[in-house]
Amino acid sequence: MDFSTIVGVATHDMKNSVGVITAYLEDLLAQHAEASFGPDAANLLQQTLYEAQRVNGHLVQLMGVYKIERGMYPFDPQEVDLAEFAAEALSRVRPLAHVKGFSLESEVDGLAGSWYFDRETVASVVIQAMFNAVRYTRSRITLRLHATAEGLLIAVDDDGLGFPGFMLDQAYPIQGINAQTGSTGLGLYFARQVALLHRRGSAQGHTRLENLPAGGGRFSILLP
Amino acid sequence: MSLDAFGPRNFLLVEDFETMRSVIRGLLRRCGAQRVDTAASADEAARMLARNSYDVVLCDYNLGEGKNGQMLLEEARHKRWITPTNVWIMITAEKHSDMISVAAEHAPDDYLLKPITEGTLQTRLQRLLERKAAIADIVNAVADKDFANAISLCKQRVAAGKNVAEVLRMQAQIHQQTGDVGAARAVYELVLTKADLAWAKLGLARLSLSAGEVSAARVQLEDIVRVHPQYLEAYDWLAVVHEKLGQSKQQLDVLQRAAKLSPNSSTRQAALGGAAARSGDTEAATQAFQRSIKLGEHSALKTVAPYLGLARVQVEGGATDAALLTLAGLAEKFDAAEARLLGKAEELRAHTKAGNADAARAAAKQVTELMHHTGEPVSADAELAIAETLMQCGQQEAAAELLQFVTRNNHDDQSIADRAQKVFEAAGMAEHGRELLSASRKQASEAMSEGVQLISQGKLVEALESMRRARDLMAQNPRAQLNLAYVAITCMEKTGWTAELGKEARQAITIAVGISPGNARAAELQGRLDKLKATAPTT
Repeated sequence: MDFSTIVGVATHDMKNSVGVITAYLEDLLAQHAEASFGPDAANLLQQTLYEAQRVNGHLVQLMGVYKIERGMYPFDPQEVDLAEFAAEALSRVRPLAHVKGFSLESEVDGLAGSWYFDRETVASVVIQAMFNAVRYTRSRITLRLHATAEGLLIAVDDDGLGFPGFMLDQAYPIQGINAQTGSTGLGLYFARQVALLHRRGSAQGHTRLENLPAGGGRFSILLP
Repeated sequence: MSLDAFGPRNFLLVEDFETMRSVIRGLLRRCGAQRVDTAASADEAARMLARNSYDVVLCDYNLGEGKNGQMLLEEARHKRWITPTNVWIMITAEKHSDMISVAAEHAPDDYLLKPITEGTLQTRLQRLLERKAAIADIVNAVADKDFANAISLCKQRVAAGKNVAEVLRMQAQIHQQTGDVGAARAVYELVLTKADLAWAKLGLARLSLSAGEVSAARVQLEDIVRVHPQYLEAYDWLAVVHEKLGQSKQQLDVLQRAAKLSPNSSTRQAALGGAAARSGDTEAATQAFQRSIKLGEHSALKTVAPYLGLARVQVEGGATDAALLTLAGLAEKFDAAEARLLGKAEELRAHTKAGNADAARAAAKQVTELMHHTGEPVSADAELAIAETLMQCGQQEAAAELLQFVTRNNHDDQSIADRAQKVFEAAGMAEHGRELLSASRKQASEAMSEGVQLISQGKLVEALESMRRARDLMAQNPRAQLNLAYVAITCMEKTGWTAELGKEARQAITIAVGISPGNARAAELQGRLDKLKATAPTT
C-alpha cells in the first residue's frame, strides 16, 4: 500500500470519528444548554465544537484536493435551489455564531432561484469561509448569493479588520505556506480548485479575497 | 411544511455502526420524526422493508459485509418494497464515482454527506418530501401509462420553474418510453443549454445508438468520457458501441479504464470478462467473470452473463469439471426458464468437450424439452445462442429444430431468419438450412392466417383449434398467444365462461406479456377476460 492510500483510508476514518464527536457536542449543547453546565462550560463546549468542525473541514479539503489533482473527484453539477443552499450553509454555522453573539444573515437573489453546480464541494467551500469569518468578524456575517452576467457570485462578508495584505495577493497561497500566521492556505487553495472545476463554454470559475470599503473582508467564489 | 410534517411519517434508518445509528436517530427525533425504526444490517433492513411500508428510508452506503446500501435500494425497488413516491436518502462519508454514475432508475433521491447536522437533515428531508409531493402526479400518470397527461404535467412544472432539471429528465424518459425520439432529443438539448450535464449528453448518445447511428453515438460518448472522466456509465455505453463496431481492442481498453476507476460493478466486470475473452486473454477474462459473480452475489439485479462467460472460458481451457461447477452455481442462483436453458446449453458444451457423449445427448434432450414446454418467455437472442451451442456440439438435429422454432416465432422478422441461417452456414449446412427456414416461415404465416380467416368466417370452434396449433408451432410469439386468447375469449363471450378456456386464455396472455411487456392488445384482452370471469358462477 502506498502512502497516499494510507492517508486516504486514515482520513476517511478520522472523518467518521470527527462526525460522531461533532454530533455528540451539538446534542449536548442543544439538550442541556447552560442550565446544567453554567456559561463557562457551555462556552468551552462551543469552542470544542468549533475546532471539531474545523478539523472536519480540513479533512474534507485534504481529500478533495487529493482527488481533484488526480482527476479522481466525481464532479457532478446539479440544479441547486439557492435559498435552500443558503439555509443549509447558515444552519451549519449558526450554533457557533449564536454563542458568540454574532448576527448571521443571508441575501439570496430571488430572481435566480436555482443554479447548476457541484453541491458538495461548493458547500464545503462556503461553510469553511463562514467558519473563518466567525473567527475574525466583529458582529456580523452575511452570505450573499447573486446572479451576475459572469455567473453566480457567492460571497461571505464579515465586519472585522479585513484580510492582511499578503493574502490579497492573487498568487496566495500558491507561493507557499506562511509560517508566521500559521495559515496553511489549504482552504483557499481548495476553494480555487473547486472554482476551476466549474466551467461553462470558455468561462471558468474563480475565487477572490478583498477588503470592503466600509471595513471588513469578503471571500467570494464565482461559478459560471 | 412545518416541523410536525415529519411526525406522522414512517422512517427507517439503516446503519451498521451503532454509535452513528443512535446519533442519527437522535437527529431525526429532534427534527420531529416520531416513528423511527432502525436496522443494523442490510438483511435486517430487507426484512423490515418487506413487512412494513416506510415513507422515508435513510440508509448508510457502507453496511459492512454483504449487501451495500445501493444493492439494498435496488432490491427494494425491484421487489416493490418501496414506491417512487417514497424517499430514499443515502448516507455516505464521501462522494465517489459509483454514485454519480448510477443510472437514474437506480439512484437514491439524495446523498447526505457525513457529518450530518440537524439543520442539514431538516432542510433536506423537508425539500425531498416537497419534491416528491410535487411530482407525485407525474409519477402516477406514468404508472397508469397516461403518458400524454404525464408530459403535459412535466411541461407545467418546467414552466413554473421548480426542479427543472429533474422534471426534464423525467420528461425525456417518458418521450423515450413512448418512442418519440425527436421530442426526447429536444428535451436533452434544452437541458444542455442550461448546464453541461453528463446525464443529458448520455441521453443524446443513447438516442443516437437506438436510432442505429452508431458512429454518431461513438463521437458523443468519447466526448463525455473526455469531459466527464468520472461519469462511468458513459464508458459502459462506449464499450457497447465499440462492440457493435467490432472494435474489440478499444472495447477492452475502455472497460479496463472504467473498471480501474470503479472495480465494484458486477455488470461492468461481466462486460470486461466478455471483452477479455474475445481478445483471447483467458486469465483476465476468468478474473473479471469471477469478480462479477462475487459482486453480484447479493444483488437483486444479478445476471447469468458472468456464469456463462466463466463456464465458456473454462470449457475452452479444458477445465470441464470446473465449468460444470460454475453452471451448478448458476442453477442454484437462478430459476427463470431462460437462465436454466442457457446454463443447460453450456453444460452440453462441457460434456461434449470432455468426450462424455451420453451426458451430452441427455443435456441436448433436456434443452429441447424445456424449450418447447416452458410457459415462460425466452428471448430470440437466447434461443439463437442455444441453437449455436447445439450445432457446435454436434447436435445438428436438435439445433435445426430449435432454429426452425425461433424462426416460426419471429416469422415476420427478417433479421432473426438471417441470424438463424448464419448458424446453419457455420455448420456447413447452408442449403439445408435455407430450405428448412423458408418452410418454417411459410408454415408459421399460414398457420397464423388460417385462424384469422376462420374467425372472419365465424367458425369459432375451428378457429380455436387452428389457433392452438399455431400457438404450439410458435409458443414464443406474442401474436400467436394473443390470437388464441382472443378466440377463447370471444367463444366465452358467446357461450359463457368455462374454467378451461379461461385458464387457456389467461396463460396465453401471461406469456405474451412476458415476451412483450406493455402490450396494448394483451391489456385489452385481459380486461375482457376479467369482465367475463366476474360473470362466472362461483363454485
